[in-house]
Amino acid sequence: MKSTFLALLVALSLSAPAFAGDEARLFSVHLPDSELIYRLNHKLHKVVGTARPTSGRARLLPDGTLQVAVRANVADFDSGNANRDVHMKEATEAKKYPLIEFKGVASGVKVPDSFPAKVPVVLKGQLSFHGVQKQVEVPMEVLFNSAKEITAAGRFTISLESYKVDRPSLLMIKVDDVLELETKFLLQQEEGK
Amino acid sequence: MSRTVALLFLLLSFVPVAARAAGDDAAPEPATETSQGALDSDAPVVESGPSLDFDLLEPSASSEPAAAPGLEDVELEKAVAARRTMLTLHQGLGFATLASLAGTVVVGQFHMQDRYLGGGDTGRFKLLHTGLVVSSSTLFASVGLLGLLAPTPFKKELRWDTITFHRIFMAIATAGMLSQVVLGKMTEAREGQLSQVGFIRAHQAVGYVTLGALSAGVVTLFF
Repeated sequence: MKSTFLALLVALSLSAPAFAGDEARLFSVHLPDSELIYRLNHKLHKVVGTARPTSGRARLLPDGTLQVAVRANVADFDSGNANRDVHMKEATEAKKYPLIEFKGVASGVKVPDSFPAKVPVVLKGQLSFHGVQKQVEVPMEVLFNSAKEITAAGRFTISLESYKVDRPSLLMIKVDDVLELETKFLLQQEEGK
Repeated sequence: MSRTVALLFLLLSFVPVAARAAGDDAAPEPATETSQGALDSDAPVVESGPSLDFDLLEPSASSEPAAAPGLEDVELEKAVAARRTMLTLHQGLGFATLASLAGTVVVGQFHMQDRYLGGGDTGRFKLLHTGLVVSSSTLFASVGLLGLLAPTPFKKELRWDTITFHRIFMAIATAGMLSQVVLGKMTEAREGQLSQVGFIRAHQAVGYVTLGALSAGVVTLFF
């Protein structure tokens, strides 16, 4: 009887970690502590616009696959100049295409054993902007503050013309075609997930 | 024997749970390519890539543009196009106005020297000054109207930014332009009177202030 009980305990203790490791972890972007920043160059000055994402989630699967989806409103970007922001909304047709969305995956992502720990992640996915969906690769620096809280920062560039955006101009000079997009996210594991 | 059965039972009981976890809807599906061909210019352009067959976010009502543009969209596009044209003209003619006003002030200074400060009162700058006054005033009014009447399809919030300073400087310049017309006429009307000197000085000072405000208004756009 005693040995049967011991066998049960051993089996339970062996099976429990494997069971826990098979769970997908779901994280939500903490919106107040996350932001998207665009940078544009014009002959006369540099333009920097920021916006908070409207929603974002990440799921880390047991096989190390990381799935990420983030969404923001194009009209939310604020460059500190109301006229310029209106011009950007016109150029990006913000009423027709109100959202900018990223959906991507990375592989080989594991929760580190100790915290804090930095994990380089390359997200490969799709950026939807101005009615155009294009493949992008986003190198991210992922900092596991704990098993339940992650800070992720990344930076990549896109071509405005490849997204069919008629580049805005000031004083008859168009902005450069390259738009740099920087992302800063705080992700928190969802309760019970 | 009973121990072995107990172990087997326990291990087997975990297999379906683990399989369910691994086979969650989160599991990536094989890559599906999306066609890029035969799309009209307004249709979404899609490129294929890694499998993104998962949904982490709630579907958004505004994720997809309407299949056919509505009347509101057409009106919006018209307003945006009109705004772009008007503001491009506003900027281009704005530089012409600045050049014209600078010329008016310079020639006005020469005219003042000639007429009132011992220049011989030849009147050789009068016609040119008048011509420049007319052209700069016309340009100034046109540029101002282009800026003021441009449709604003997107709501703008009032804030302390460069465009607000541009407007403040342009309001000062507008007040200056209006004052100059009145001061110029009053100066002419006081020909031979002692009080004319004061009006000449005022006309000169307001001219420089107006040019300064217009220049500042243009320069703010560079920041």
